[in-house]
Amino acid sequence: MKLVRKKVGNWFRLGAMSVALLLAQHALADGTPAGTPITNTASVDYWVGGVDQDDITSNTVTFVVDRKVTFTLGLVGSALVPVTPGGDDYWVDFLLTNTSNSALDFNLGIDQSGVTTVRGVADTTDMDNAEYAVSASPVSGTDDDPTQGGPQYVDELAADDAIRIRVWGDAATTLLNGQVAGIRLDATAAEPGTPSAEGSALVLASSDNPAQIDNVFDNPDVNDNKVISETDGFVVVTADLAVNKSYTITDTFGTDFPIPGATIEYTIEVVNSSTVTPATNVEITDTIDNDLDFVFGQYSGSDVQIVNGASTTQCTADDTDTDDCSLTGDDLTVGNGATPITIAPGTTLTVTFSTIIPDPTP
Amino acid sequence: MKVLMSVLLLGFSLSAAAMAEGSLDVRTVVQKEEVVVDDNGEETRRLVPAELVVPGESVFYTITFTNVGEEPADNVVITNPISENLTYVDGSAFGPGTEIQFSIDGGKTFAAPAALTVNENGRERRATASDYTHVRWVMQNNLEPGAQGTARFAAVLD
Repeated sequence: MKLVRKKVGNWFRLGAMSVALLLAQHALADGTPAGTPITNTASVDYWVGGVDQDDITSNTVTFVVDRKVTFTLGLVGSALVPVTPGGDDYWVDFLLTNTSNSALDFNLGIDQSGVTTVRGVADTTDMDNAEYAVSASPVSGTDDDPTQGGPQYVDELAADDAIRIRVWGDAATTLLNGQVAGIRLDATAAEPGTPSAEGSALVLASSDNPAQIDNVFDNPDVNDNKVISETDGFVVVTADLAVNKSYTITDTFGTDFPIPGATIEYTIEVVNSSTVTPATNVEITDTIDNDLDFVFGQYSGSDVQIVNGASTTQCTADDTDTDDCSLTGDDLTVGNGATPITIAPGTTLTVTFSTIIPDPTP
Repeated sequence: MKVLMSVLLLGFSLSAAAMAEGSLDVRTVVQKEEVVVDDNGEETRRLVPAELVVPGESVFYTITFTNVGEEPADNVVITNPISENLTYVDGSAFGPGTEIQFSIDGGKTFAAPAALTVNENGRERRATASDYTHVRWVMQNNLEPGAQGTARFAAVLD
């Protein structure tokens, strides 16, 4: 069986390219629209016996431009979207561009189970409640952000126009740092012509039917449809905390000997090294050595100083109020008040409190 | 079989007679190139009827003219417009025994490519294939009775 394919010779390609670049007086950005009849008639002028004869015209040949189905599906973002376990409605955008010589509908679908890699990274998990929707307006219009529950197919996308498609997903609370969830969007070229109605998938023409516009495209799928898929996804990023405790001794002589009467100021630093994920509900507990006494009122009349990023606050160790500090027995707790502490990505929380080495009991 | 052939020939003759409005019979066909790859992977190119045609593809127009009269025809000039949605493929025009000329003004004047210039933003530049609106073949010799000539060119569908 012979394989037949249609191809334009290289020298004609070069010719076409050069003329397109030089001056496209006839050219349309998206090509001659499908359905356009192209006619041609030759004429001949001649003489016989020294007498000019009437011009003769040939038969007129006509062909109708068929539909060249080409489109692209691209990623709008530049990297995997970071998600936090338990977070909802994370999204990625795709851009579908119709480069055909005809308006087209597009059938759409998403899949996670068949994704093995996304942006070169292995796919290791799935998002919950994945869904998609198409923008209400193409890029040439208002390019509205797609909204959940929006259109589920692309309707009458004009030649050379583009439209955004958004895919959402929720991050389960069980996801682990570094896990990656890819979602594949499949776009299938579909029959245009009926606004507000989803056309059926275009089928590759096996031969020309002069009575209709035939569909011509490369790489058909098993159903002879034209499908393009693109995959984007999400990466789970949890907060990355490190804690460090240090102290400063100031004795009654102005030196730093740990002698009775010396003050020992403790500093606890909590660093969130994540670039994207805040650490929420941070709670710090420190058990003060039994041989030290807690010093009250050391910081602007309060007991503990908290520096969170650019914000500095104080709180009292009284465990009957609702601020961020409480001292129960020897346990100092910070972050258990009415306002939970959040450490933003790339910032440090610093807790400072003071103790004193008591004088020996006389 | 002979009967069938006769009928076919008769049909062709009638058709040709109907087409001829004088001493010349002129016919045009439009085709496109198809590449056939055999089992050994070797490519063979052939021209097939231009049916499935999409932007970016080339089509080939072939004009065949025959002197069906009894006297020689001289000063034979074949003119073919290049349709609005087509762009002439540079160097593709072909016609044995003819001088090939082009028009860039809708067929009012014709000249060899080297003599055609376009004024663009006040500057003269040499016309290019995309400027051509018509192609013309000027026969250098008489077309004798019964003789046939061929002219061809290619164009890309925009």
